[in-house]
Order: sequence, then C-alpha cells, then structure tokens
Amino acid sequence: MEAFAALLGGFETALTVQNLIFVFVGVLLGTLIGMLPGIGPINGIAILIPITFALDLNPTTMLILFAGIYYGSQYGNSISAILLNVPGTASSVATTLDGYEMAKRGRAGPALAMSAIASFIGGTLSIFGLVFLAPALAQFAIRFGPAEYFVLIVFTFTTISALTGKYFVKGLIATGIGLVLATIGLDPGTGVPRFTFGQLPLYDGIDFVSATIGLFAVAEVFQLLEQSRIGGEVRTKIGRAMVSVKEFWESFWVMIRSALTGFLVGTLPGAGATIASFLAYSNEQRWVDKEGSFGQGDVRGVAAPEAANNASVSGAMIPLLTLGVPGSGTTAVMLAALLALNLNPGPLFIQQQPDLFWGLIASMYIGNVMLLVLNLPLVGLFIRVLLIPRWVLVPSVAVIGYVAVFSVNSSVFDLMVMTALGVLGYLLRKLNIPVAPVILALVLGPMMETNLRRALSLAQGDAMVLVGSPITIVLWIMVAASVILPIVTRKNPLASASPAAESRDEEDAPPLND
Amino acid sequence: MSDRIASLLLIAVGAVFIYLATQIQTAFFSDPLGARWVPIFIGIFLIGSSVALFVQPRSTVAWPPRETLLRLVLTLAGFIAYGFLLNPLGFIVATTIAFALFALQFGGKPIRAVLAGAIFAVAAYLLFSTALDLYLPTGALFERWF
Repeated sequence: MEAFAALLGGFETALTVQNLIFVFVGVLLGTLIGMLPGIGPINGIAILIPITFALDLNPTTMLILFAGIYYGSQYGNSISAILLNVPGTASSVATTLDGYEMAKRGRAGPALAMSAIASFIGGTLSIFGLVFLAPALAQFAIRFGPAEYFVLIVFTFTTISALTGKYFVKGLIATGIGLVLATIGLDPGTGVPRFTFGQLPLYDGIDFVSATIGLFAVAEVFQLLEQSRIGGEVRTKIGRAMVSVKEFWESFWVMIRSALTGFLVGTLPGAGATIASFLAYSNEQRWVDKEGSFGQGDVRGVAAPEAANNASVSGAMIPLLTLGVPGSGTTAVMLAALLALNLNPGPLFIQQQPDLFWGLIASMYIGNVMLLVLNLPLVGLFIRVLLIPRWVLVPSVAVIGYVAVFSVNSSVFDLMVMTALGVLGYLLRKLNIPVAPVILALVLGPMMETNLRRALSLAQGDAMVLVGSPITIVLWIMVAASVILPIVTRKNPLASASPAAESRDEEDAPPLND
Repeated sequence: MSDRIASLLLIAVGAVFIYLATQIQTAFFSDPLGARWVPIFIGIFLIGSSVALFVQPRSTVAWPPRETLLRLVLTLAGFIAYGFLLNPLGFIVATTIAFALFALQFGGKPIRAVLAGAIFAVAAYLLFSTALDLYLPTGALFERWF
C-alpha cells in the first residue's frame, strides 16, 4: 500500500507539463534511434547529455527523458527488424527470425502489431517488478560498506566480461582498457595528477560524453564505411497493423513468461536486452513450438523476444538506482550523467529522492502507453524514416555527435579524444572485443578505486577487510563463479542460446548487411 | 594473427602504463594504498589477460581491402580536420565541408552532398545554437562582419 501511495505521488511528478513533454520526446526519439540501424540508445543518451545540461533540466526530467529513449528504442528496433531484416539494435536480432519471415509472407502488419503489443506487455509488467524489487534491494544494500562495494564492482566487471561478446578473455581485455582510461586524471584519493602528460584538459579525466560518442558513434561511422551493401528493400506496404484475437491469446502466456525472463536477465550485470531476447526466444521455442513453426513466421516468435527485451530495461534500472552500480553501457552513461549533477544513486536514493524514483516509474507507465499509440496506428509514419538514404543519415549522426562533444567544454581537445577513441572502438570491433565493458569500466573505475582505498584506510591497511563480512564472501564466491563458469563451459553461458547472439554486445548496433 | 599483434600491443601498453604508474609522485599524507598501486594492478591485469589471448588467439579478422582502407583514412582525416577548422571557419562552413566529405564517402552525389551539408549545417546551427543555447563558433573569418 505504501508503494501505491508513493506511486500516486510519482504520477503527480510525471504528469507535469514539462515531464509529459520530455517523456514524449524521449519515447519518440527512442523509437527513431532504435529503428535506425547504427544508432543505439547509448549514442542517443550520450548526445543528449550536453543538451540537457544546457537546458538546465532537473535530474528527474533528465532521467525520464533518458529512460524514455532506452525503453523506446526497444520498441523501435523491431520495426527495421521486421521490415528490413536488419535489427535496429542488437536486441532485436531474435525478432528478425520470425518477424521478417512474416513480412515476406505479406504479414508485416500483424508482425508489427504483435511486436508493439508484446513490447507494451513486457514494458509495463516489468515496471511492477521494478516497483517491488528495487526498494527491497535498496533495503538490503544499506549494509554495504566500501569493501562490499569494491567486491560488487569487481563482480560487475567479471560478469560483463563473461556475458558480452563471444570470448571471456576479450571481455576482460575490454575491461582492462576501460580501467586504464579511467585512471587518467587527478587521483581520487590524494589529488595528484596521473597519466596526464602535463596536458591540462586531461586533469579532469577522459570525459564520458567524448568517450561514449567516440567508442560508439564514431566507431560506427568507420564500420559502416566498410559495408557497401544496404539491407533489403523497405516494405512500405504493411497492411493493417493489427493481430487477430486468436493470435493474441496464443501469444499471451508467451509474453508473460518472456517478460519475466527478460526482467530477471536485465537485473544481471552485463546480460541486458540482447541475451534476454534470445533466451526468451529459445525457451519458448522449446516449450510451445510443437509444430516447428518458429523461424517460419510464427507470431509467437515475435512476441517472445520483444516482450523480453523491453522487460530487461526495467530490470537494468534496478542496480543503477538502488546500488549505483550499473550493469550495462547504457545505464553506465546514465549514472555518469547523474554523478555530473552531484546525485549519487545508492541504497538511500529512493528515500532521499522519492520524487525522482517514483516520478520515473510513473513516467515509464505513461511512456509505454505513448509508445503503444506511436507504434500501432502511427507505425506507417515511422517507416518513412527508413527511406532516408545512408549518405544523409550517417553524416548527420556524425555531425550531431560532434556538436554534442564540442558543447561540453567548447574544446577541440575533446574532439580529438573522441576521434582517437573512435579509432580504438573501430579496432576493438574488428578484433571482436566488446565495447560495452570499456565504457562501464571507464565510469565505474574511479568508484572501484575509491571504495577499495577507503576500505583499506578504515582498516588501517589490513587487506583482510576485503573478505571481512559475510556479504563480501558471498560476493567473492559470485565473482569466482562468473570467472570459472565461462572457462569451464568455454561458452558464453546465456548467449549460447543462439549462435547469432555471440559476439554482439548489447549496445553494439549490428552491421547493416547481415 | 591479428589477435596476436593486438595482444602484443596491449602487453606493451600495460608495461608502459605500469612504468608510468611507478613514476607518479605520491602525496606526503596518503592512504595505505596510495595513488600508484591501483594503476599498477590494472596494468598487471591488462598484461595478464593479453598474455592469455596471445597464448590462445581466438579469431581471424577480415581487414578491409586497400581501397576501403583509404576511405577510412580519408574519413578519419575528415574528423580531425573538422575539429581544427571549427574555430577558424565557424560551425556552418566547417560543417558543410565535413558533411559533404562524409556524404561522398557514403555514396552521395557531389552537388547533392554539398547542398545537403549546407542545409543541414544551417538547420543544426539554428537548432543547437539558437533554440538549445549551446555554444557553436561563428568563425574568426566571419566575426569581422557580424
């Protein structure tokens, strides 16, 4: 009941004119960003950060906007998956399997409708999970001291290394690279400059907006250059975007189960929407596909991944909001934006910032309703966006990324950092090294170091403090499990659900032509 | 092969990183760990995981053919030049040039590319600078006249 009253208060926050406008902007941009191959939510959010700072948006509105982009992109990504056989972001790869088959058989309309409905069910159901799980986890995490936080961050690093990308060792390398970049700047403990080479702009460390746009957007431009072929023809004739009652009931339990799967997977660090969608797809294939129709244009094959990838977004918000330790690249960028506004998410965050937390929750309900309207009757309008030629689209994205980075400090130096990281991001992608752990380590690196040194200071340098409580010991066991499992099974344990899930990390937009 | 070269490079980066970490000046009052040790651990971690990759390389990489490589370098040069031209030429002119250059790489026709670049540059300037209040340089060349 307490949660219910708090939620009502949240609606009061979310229903202000300003917040309503920004949730709409968020879900609209999210749908577009999700739909366009090559731009994912992480780019969209990073690009908008300087703009929200310039507009002086309050943190609640900012988070409502960013969350809108995040879950909105999980609606939009299926549009190109179904119509073009090109997933808008990696988490709709599973949707192409049946979605594109349906489109080929002239059933693009029902496929789009089912994807929107499944997204809505996954999105709204998972918010309930967020409402109940987040306060409970926060209650538990109050007991976390610096030592516990240190081990928790180590656990986040090992899990994301194991779960993104195909090879564990490459995930570890990516984490290492991110940690190296994170140490540049003034030492958080004593304030001495480290690895700055006397360059004044480096004293503040590598700016996360430059880093994100470099590693994701600029690297994507380089990668797109390599691919000359563009996906199939856009099917603009989609027919009526509606499913029959029979199809809906057929898919009903599929959606409920997939939403649960997606939500739980989303809470894990590193797992995210891509793995959630494949896991849901393969589970449903095993459970309900008696006739072997999955992959042949079965509507349930669209419902499962779409419910799951939307549900995973709510799950991913939990560690961000209750622990302050995000588990994915996109949530890491959101954390960095909150930290820049001097807000520290953690166990007390919900109590200290009830307007922010409950306003965000309420806005997610509102946003999902808006998305259902945008993606059912208005889907025909969005399809036109897919007709923009690539020679206009890619330079536009590059220029907007440039403006965003430049506007942070009006600094050409930042632009060069961004470009250099763009080259790094391109090389990493070519080498099959996932990029998401780099950005996560860049954001969490200073936090890891601060907590480690604080824990040791409090214990007068006694390293035993790191295993000094039951929570730390349990966390170390989890770290050990996340290191040993991928080595023993030689496979990404969750992504092995489908070969296509391997080597893709959540935020890496997949290539245009596969 | 690419994995091996990359791991060797990363081992070198890790070694230089550790060396630089040992050179960090330490403050007189410091916590038990100080400013040096975490970077040293990170360097060891990077070297360790790179050695593991060197011992067991995982995948072969299909690097682009020479012609594509040339376009990649050209685009990279475009990104760098854009940054350095932004202040002297101003946002609108620099963006038109950069946009057109990128558009050509992605198969735009020359006249259309320049035209689209100019339209986009003006629209972006109005949106970001006028509506959203972000600072964008007018350009040293034009400031005389404005």
